[in-house]
Amino acid sequence: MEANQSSKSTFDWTDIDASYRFPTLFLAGKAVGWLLLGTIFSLIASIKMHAPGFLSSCSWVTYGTMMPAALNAIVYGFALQGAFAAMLWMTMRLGQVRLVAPGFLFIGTALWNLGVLIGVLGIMAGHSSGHAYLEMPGYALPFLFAAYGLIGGIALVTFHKRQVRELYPSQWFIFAALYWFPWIFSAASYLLVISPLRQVVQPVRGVAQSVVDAWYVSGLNVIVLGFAGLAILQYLIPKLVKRDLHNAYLSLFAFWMLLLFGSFSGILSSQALPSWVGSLSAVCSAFVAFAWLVIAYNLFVTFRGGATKSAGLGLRFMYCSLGSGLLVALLTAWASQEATSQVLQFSLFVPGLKWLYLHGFVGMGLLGGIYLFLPKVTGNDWKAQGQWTIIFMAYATGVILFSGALLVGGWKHGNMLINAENSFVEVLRSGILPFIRISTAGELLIVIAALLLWWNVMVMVCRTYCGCLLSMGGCGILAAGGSKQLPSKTNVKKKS
Amino acid sequence: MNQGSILFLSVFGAMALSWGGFVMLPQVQLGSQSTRVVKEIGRHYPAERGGLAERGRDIYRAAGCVSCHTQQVRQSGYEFDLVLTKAGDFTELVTSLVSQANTSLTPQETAAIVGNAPTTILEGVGKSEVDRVLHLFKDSGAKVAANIRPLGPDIERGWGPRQTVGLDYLFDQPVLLGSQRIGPDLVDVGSRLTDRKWHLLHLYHPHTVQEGSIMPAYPYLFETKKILSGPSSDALALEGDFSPPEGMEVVPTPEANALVDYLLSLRIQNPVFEAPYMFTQDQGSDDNNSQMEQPE
Ligand code: HEC
Repeated sequence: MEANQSSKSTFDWTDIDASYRFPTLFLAGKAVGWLLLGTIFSLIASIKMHAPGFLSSCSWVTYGTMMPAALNAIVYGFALQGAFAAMLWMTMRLGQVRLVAPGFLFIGTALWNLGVLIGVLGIMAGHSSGHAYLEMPGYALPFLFAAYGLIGGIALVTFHKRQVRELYPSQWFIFAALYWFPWIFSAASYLLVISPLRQVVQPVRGVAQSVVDAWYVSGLNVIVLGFAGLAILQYLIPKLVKRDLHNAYLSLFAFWMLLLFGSFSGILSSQALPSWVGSLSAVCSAFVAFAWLVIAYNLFVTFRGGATKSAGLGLRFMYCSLGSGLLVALLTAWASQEATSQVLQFSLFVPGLKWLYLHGFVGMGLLGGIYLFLPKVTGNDWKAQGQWTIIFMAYATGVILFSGALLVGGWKHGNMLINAENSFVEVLRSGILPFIRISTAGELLIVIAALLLWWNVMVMVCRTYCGCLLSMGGCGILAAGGSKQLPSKTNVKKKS
Repeated sequence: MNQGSILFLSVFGAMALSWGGFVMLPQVQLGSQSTRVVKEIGRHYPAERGGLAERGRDIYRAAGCVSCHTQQVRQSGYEFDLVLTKAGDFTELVTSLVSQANTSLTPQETAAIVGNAPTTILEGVGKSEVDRVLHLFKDSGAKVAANIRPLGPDIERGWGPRQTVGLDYLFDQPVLLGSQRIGPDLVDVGSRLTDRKWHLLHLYHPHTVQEGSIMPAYPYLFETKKILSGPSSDALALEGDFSPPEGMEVVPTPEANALVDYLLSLRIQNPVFEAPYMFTQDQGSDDNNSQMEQPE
């Protein structure tokens, strides 16, 4: 399984990378754009906590619309889109295969972004569905389905056409994530968002909606985004330390655990739901945490035996990502226990975990991926290395402040809430506000990092387009979907 | 079989398992719930909300109130109050039984309890104590009722008389349980804050009624307009910093009124089978204690 660690071969990647050059720039460029927009939204929401009158005269930017708009922009615009980009690239690299139909990938990406844009605007216009992570209104969903049909389809066909038949662990994770997403997305949005609109079938009634939603959120987090992130980690960490993954079987074991238990973890028991939901979820969360420990151990041993001891920037991104993911898995398992969940259930701890996962684990992984992949794919180096150090520092500090304050504050908030002697105003004053202040500072840093990142990626995009236009001397390149212009070298090893 | 097919089949299997267990099963369990008659309130529960309140829920959803407010009350357990409802004819026997039931009573207190029934014998006791006392009074001619009192910080805060159960949300589309308490729980806010004017002021700007609140203001639900012939009857009574310019007044839009209707419709003041509690009808006749008789 480790045989196809691509670093070993003297394989010529130019052709493969080139087939993906423009699609990846498109995907990554859009993804960082959504990251910027999402973090700005969430900063606005955060500021509103300090000044109730701030921007209050417009219904589009009230706290209750900014928060879900930020979440959806970051989950669908940034995290998923970035994950698609990274998964496609790894599929091509590990399978030593050219991207199929890059033109359709362009269309898919454009549709996806259109869908997210419509969805986010719909939320702001007050058409949110009210279900967590599925707030986007029903009319945005057809675009997303069509887009995913193209993106996911291209990824699966590319996977199928791979030259290297043997599978590396990352490919298991990628395949499962790509396959899992359309299922849960269509099932949950059909049951929760679309069917109530049409009134044809009986909509899901009462709290069954919350169970379906929780199932979707867990599957999206642990399996779709989680597997994408884990695929990146298990692909890049061994590459960066120039050593094979310690033990592929450990990784497959964790894969199985996550696949079986990942779709129902992290649901804190609520008395409005059937009681088995909370208990079952506590068990699932424990298994997920165990799987994460296995993966972290596997990667840690890989690193320890590796050649590179001095951590480059890329490796630092990877460690932050791994650390955050592991921390979230452990904290989720801890918070799901009956006793702790009584304390933490409705506190700031819950958003703390959510953002640590999205920014700390997924975000760090994707930023590291962008940092390492884009120069390879485009053939251009980052102009401003120093800015990347700033991006890393700002993002890391921002995430620590932002989610750390919510996690620590959540403990206090929760403990104050379960003691009825603290009046609610007291809870507000000493259990919520001080921590929100710190987390707002963290968000500001994240916005700065996102802005710098966006700028750097845009510069890279422009340089690549210009470079290509100059060297090829024609704009027919762009029209042709950015792939056909490349001299179709047939040096892909045919070893089927 | 090649690796790709194994992978495909295993992922497919896991998916089917997850779908069946976590989506189909809850559907089967919860999908058949229907309204039922609650005898304490003498009607079907839950009832669909009226038209305006229904419209108000849309505004609640659109404004994203759910990101700060939950609508679910937790309860950590029960306590019972034991009440002598009828002393019966055998006063001496009952007096001795009462003193056995609560050994800390003085003879005078015991006599007062028996003489003035209905009176409370014991407060805040557990299930085993209830069983013991009910057993004592068996065949004594006296009647003892055990009133259930739900416990927990949410209930102590007055956020609701009992825990919420699935039944409470039967007609909610979407269900807005919420996951964060930046603000208080709202599932029973309609019986806690009954003043329409308060709600309107609070929505216009929370600082008009609650200093230091971090709830956003919703001025877009209101209209500031010129006073024409005389002040409108529904104009907000705004003072100080919040008062509109001279000759102007702030009136709620239909949306604001619908939202307040919805808030006022949020009530769980009735026991249900899954979450019983000692229910007192606060309006109406004098002998209004409809207790939960402990089934023998
Ligand atoms: C940023 C979070 C936030 C949002 C969004 C929010 N609230 Fe609040 N809400 C609070 C806080 C904090 C309090 C407690 C202080 C106060 O009374 O203003 C509160 C209190 C309340 C109360 C009084 C409850 C009580 O028991 O005192 C009501 C009613 C209420 N909110 C309704 C709403 C409605 C309706 C919306 C949506 C239009 C909404 N809230 C949106 C934070 C929020």
